[in-house]
Amino acid sequence: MNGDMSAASASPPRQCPGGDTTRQWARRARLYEVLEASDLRRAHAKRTLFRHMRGQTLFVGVGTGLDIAHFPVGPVITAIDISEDMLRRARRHRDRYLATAEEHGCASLELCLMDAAALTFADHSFDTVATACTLCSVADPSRVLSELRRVLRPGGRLLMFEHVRSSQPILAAVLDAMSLWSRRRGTDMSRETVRAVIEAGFDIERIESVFLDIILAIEASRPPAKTGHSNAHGVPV
Amino acid sequence: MPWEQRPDGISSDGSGRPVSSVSVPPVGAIRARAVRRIAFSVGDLALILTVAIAGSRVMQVAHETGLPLAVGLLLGMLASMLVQLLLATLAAPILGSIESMVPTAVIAMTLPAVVCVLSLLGLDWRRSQLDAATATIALAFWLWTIAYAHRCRHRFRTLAVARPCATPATTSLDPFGHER
Repeated sequence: MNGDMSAASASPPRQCPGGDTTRQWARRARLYEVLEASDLRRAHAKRTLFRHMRGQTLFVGVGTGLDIAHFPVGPVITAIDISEDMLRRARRHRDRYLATAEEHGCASLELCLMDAAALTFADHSFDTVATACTLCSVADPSRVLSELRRVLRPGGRLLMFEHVRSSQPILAAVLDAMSLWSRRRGTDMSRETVRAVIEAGFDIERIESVFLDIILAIEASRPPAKTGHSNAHGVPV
Repeated sequence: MPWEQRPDGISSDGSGRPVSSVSVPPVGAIRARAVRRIAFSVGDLALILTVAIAGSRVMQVAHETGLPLAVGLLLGMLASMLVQLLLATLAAPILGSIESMVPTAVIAMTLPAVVCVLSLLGLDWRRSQLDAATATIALAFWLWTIAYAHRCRHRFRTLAVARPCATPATTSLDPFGHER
């Protein structure tokens, strides 16, 4: 492993991550760990979800690295984020993880600066792709999901810890109202992520309610390759 | 740590079974999970009650200023939403950002309106009476969230497809296209 943000130097992204999104997350990085430190409540669900990471693993939207503490030891993890400020803060968590994981003799966690909507990785290069509160924060979720599907090998697993729009009308209305404000800060509170995952061509294997039907732990998989076939939603596999 | 994964992918409960999505957690883990769930629910209740009482008091004060009804309503709603935002932000590091923000937003959007309706109906309640009524509504809402959470867990559990262990890694190239 060649250390921090390797993709930025060794293999430049197709589309340079930048513009408003990067600046926005650079601003948020300063207070992110204080305001989003919801780990006390969500840690168990995250750990349970992420223990399914296997082999080459891509973690999309690592942020300041709060989720690194929940990664299992064993998988070869590449964690990406669009913000350099976030990644700089994530180093501390990465170092702590590597120190713990090295005791077990297998530790690999690389941080890369990359846009989730324009991944520089080759097709089918990961056995597992994981996200945590990422799909709410990207400009085009369907494009990101299509990229995740591209880099995931057929039969590979998608693990998502995401907050989504509630199916309960009152809660959905509140989330819609909150989105009017939160969208300006880069977070959409009312995304139909489960539907988007299915439409992107993944098979949902398991969904666990973490908080009502708003925060979900989603396990999905990319259907095994069968040339010329399409899944139940008409997406070619 | 009863259901931590060892590097070799074998569950650490000593059974030698591979870790899988259908593995059953040990009793200790289930108990710890239940205790955690109860503790956070109590925290949620405390926050909902605080936001409800603070919001309704703010609205009552807005009415007592003698402003025209529409202006009082608007200012009261805005002020109670600000109070909710502040309290939920303070509670977020412990209770979770979305977990504290969403239920209290429902309360902050509805309870001050209820106070307004009561005022319109000519019911001039004392502060203690209003607090009691507000707390009752907040408690009922909290009970609803508990029931809804239970329903969600059940709904998603029945959707779950029992699958064997994850397929082993077969990718031969690293993410940058190099031979492993």
